[in-house]
Amino acid sequence: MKAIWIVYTKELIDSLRDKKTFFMSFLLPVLMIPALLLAVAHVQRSKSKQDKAKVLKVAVIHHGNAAPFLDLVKKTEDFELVDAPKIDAIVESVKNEDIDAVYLFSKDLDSALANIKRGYVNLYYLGQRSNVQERRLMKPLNAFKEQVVAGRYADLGIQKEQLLALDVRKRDIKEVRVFLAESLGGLLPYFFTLMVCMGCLVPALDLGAGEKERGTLETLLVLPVARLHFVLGKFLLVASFGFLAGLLNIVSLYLSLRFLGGELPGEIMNALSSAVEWQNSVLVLSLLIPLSLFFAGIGLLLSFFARNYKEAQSYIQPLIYLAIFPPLVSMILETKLSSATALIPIANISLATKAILGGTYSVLDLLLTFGSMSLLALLVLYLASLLILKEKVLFRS
Amino acid sequence: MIEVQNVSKSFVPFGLKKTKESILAVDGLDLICQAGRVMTLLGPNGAGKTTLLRMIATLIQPQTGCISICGSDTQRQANEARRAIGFITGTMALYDRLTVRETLKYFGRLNGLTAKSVRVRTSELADKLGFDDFMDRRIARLSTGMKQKVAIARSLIHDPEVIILDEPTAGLDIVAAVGIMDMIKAYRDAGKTILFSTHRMDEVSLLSDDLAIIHQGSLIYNGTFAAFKTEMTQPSLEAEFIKRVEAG
Repeated sequence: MKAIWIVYTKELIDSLRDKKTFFMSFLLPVLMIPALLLAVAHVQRSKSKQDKAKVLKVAVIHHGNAAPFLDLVKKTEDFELVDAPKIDAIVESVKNEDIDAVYLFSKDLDSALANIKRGYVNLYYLGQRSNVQERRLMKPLNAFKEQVVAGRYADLGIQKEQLLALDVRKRDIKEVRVFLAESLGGLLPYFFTLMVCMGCLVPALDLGAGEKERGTLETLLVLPVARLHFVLGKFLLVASFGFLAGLLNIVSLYLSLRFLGGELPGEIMNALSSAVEWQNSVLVLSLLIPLSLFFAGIGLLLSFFARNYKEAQSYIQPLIYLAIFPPLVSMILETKLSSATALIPIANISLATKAILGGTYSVLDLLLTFGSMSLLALLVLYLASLLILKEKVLFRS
Repeated sequence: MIEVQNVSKSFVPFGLKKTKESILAVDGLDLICQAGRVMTLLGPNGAGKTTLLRMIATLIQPQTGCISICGSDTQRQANEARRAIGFITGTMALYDRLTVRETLKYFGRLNGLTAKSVRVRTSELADKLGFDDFMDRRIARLSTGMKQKVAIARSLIHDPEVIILDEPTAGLDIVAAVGIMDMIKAYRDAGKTILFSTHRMDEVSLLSDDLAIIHQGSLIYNGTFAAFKTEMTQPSLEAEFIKRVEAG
């Protein structure tokens, strides 16, 4: 035990002085969330502002019809009515952004409307990620439609409400907090898993392949210390760095919300705040323990197996995908934590986090997640210690 | 004292999987290094020197035969054997981000010394090797010669009975190399067992009490250096060495 502690403290000092490890394990988890929050808030604000403020150049091809619509367009603020292109040039003009939108009405619009038939209009525009522009373009069309329909009701002498046979009142009982927590619950573990993975892998590279490359491994192996103790000392250091990266990520989330929360919409802010309530934080952190042990074991194994640092990097790169894809897939597929999904490594951590944030978890499923991930981590550590101690692996060059 | 009896080791070259294609690096080798004497291990590249030294230093295990260090079998009593060994290589192999003091403390504690013993030994070695002024400087900021001194101190922190040196002067300037030669002599005079591998004939003639020439995993000479010199038929050590290696 004493030797494990000596190895651990030495590796701690050495790793903390390594700029790359320090950045990946400590600075990145701290800086990533506030940077991301600020960037998202800034981009969203400026894009929405831009879309709202932009004067839209619109053209109307009406064939002498739709006079009320033309009036509405002329009255619409931030619309500039421009000369209409030829019909076969509409797509080109919109694509080139010479015109923002073209309303193309059918030739028989007025007579169709007069005969209580349906009129047709094509709206050409370039789709945007935010639908602010689309909503603005639809506004005069909707107003025109309302006018026509209101006229028809008046001609028939009935009220609009009289035609509503069934009034459907949707009552989605899912709390906004749960809904947002579920979507963010997919996103947050995605960050946590990635941070834990990076927090483990960067020091693991140095502690295994780095030792081999520098030749320091030989100087250790001639010491009167069981080789397993070296492996355990290094393993514990790598796992603590992974866990610490996850912890710092959560602390950073808490601080970001406290100091930058005003930048975010209220509902998102509330959902994120629930993520950093202390009970939730403790539960999420407890899940990061087996996750850190797992990445530490597998990272060290690959690092010791590699002949040099460069080879270790190429082995370890796919591990990052292992940290990215399961949380991503669970986020996309909207899978829920159950006694079956609690047994799927890594994805179970993400699903459990999602359930914790939404307050929809069962203790049994959480225990299953913790237990299965811990078992896997121990298995990886056992295999790692068996393989790392092999002469063929240690001196594989 | 080091006793090597009928030791063999073979490797499968990297990239090959079949044991049929394995290379016999050390082939049934016997060797005895006495306390208070320097044995020089000489051999061309790929002769099996490093494999033999690694087996003696307990880094790798022999496939046949046995090795004992001061009476401890390297396979059955590995940790006892390791306590008696100081292993120095030419690559220095230090942790750049640790200071000299931290490095010596780390290796001292892992060798089983108490914190107080580490302090005493560190101070002794710093005086002897002349790095007292650099104790709190990080290794990365030391010169090559100074790094080699720290590497030596690291290997001698526990005052081992057996010192194994694998080309310790490789890449060093003449001043640093002479310093190491002097240190080897001093430890020999203090009754330590020294096994020394080198390519440099000047070092052989300067240090050797005993000489072992290894070629293709087997010893082609094993005896005192004085006897070797009397048997020489060539005008120089280099020429004699080449003649014997070519003769196989």
